[in-house]
Amino acid sequence: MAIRHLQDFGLPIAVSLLLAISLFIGVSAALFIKTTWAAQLYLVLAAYLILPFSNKERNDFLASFFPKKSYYQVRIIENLLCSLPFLGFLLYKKAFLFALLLVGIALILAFFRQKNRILFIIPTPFYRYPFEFIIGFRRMFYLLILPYILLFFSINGQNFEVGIFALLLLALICASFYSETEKEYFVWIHAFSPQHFLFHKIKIAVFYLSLLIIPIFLAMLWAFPQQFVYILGAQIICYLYIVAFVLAKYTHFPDNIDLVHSLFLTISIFFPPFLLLCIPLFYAQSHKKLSQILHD
Amino acid sequence: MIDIQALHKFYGKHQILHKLNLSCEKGKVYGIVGENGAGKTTLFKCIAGLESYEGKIQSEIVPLKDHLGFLQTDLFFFPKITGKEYIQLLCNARKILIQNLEEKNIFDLPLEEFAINYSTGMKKKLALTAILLQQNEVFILDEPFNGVDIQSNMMITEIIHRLKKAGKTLLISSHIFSTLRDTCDEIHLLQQGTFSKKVLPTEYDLLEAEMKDTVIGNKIDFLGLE
Repeated sequence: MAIRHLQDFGLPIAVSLLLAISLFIGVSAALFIKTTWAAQLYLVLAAYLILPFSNKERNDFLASFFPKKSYYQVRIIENLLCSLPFLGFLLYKKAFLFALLLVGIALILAFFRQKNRILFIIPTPFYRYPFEFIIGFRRMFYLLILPYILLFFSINGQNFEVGIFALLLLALICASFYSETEKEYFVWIHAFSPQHFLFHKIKIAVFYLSLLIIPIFLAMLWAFPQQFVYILGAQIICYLYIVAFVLAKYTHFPDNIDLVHSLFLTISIFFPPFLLLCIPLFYAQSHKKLSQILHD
Repeated sequence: MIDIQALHKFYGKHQILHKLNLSCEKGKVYGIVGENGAGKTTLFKCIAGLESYEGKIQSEIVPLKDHLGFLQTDLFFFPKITGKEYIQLLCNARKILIQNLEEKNIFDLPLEEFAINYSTGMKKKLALTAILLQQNEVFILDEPFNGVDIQSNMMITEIIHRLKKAGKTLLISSHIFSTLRDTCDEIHLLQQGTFSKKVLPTEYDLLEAEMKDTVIGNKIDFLGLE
């Protein structure tokens, strides 16, 4: 999937593959250096990536084509293939128990098949202003629990850095809700000027992010009052992240964000001062693109 | 109300619309008929401002798009968004506060369910409900009767009559001639990107017979059905 996204940016398959592998190794290495729960996180992440393979439609399709035995063979092979990069890195890190657990998860999930498309509609507090947070929340609710778990470990173990990581992680998950550009029609319907539209989007994003992030912010202040300045700084960075993602979304409108802007965002994540350059730049570009469809 | 003058539309070198002229007045319903690929949807997108074009589209209401309800033929629905949230999104876009949505759900849609799981007809009815609640002055309904059941068909026809009475301007395309006959003040025949004919209600029967003759002719005989 990541490779396909990179190819969408016009990169040749070999370069896309190389970039995807490098990115995976880089992020994995950083994860294992920075946290003590990297292996556990790895399991959650791998399960998260494997889970969509149990989607009802695709499984109905597979089951209609293959005999029962072959169907399960296909499911096992694709789950193992998907977990292979994680497995490789766990073995490299000599985390054999976790590697075994990962194989177990991949095998168990091969026998899991989503029963119904409409199992349960998760209620969200974001009804008033659809749609990014509603969709993101419903798609990633289990991932959104992760920062709160990290917060618990941070406070319990008096590890300030993990708490800050939880804060930033939550903001980045929410920012990712803005990674895909909507169809032109859903911008066109707005009786707003480009400026009004962008500020409206930013206002909603900041407000809804606050609903999710303020409990972590307050808990951090309570647990680490002496680190007030750093916590406030991290909170501001969280808001800047989401503003940058909202604005980046429309820089290539009606197309999705391009490789250059994605790189800018990636640099900003690791080097937040870069956001001060990105935000005005993205705003100017988005405003220009939206002017083609919205009027002052 | 809406004045279209010498409208041309090109996709690269391929010309889709050729010098179209059309005047639409308040409180009138205009039918646009034509075969698939004749340019109906492109014309509608040009009027809506979703496509660039050459020529002039002028309106008393400026900007027209902010008062235009556009029911597209290919509807898109976000995944994991309920019918209610879809309506909310469209009303927010026009700063309309919806009250008593349950009462306004005249098609009895399951608004608490994901819109993407609706049937084709239900999706159409949801999109129509949303643009009606936007309180628009002009409506473009591209194939509003496609896929909807007969009861809803009747409901949509009645809605069009009510909108007309309320002084709204409507442009409708449909492949079901009877629906246009019941609703339109005039019908424009679009052929290969050109308006080839303007037909008034007294001539609808003639137009239908003519279209049948042109489209069907003796083609079915070739199938050798017995």
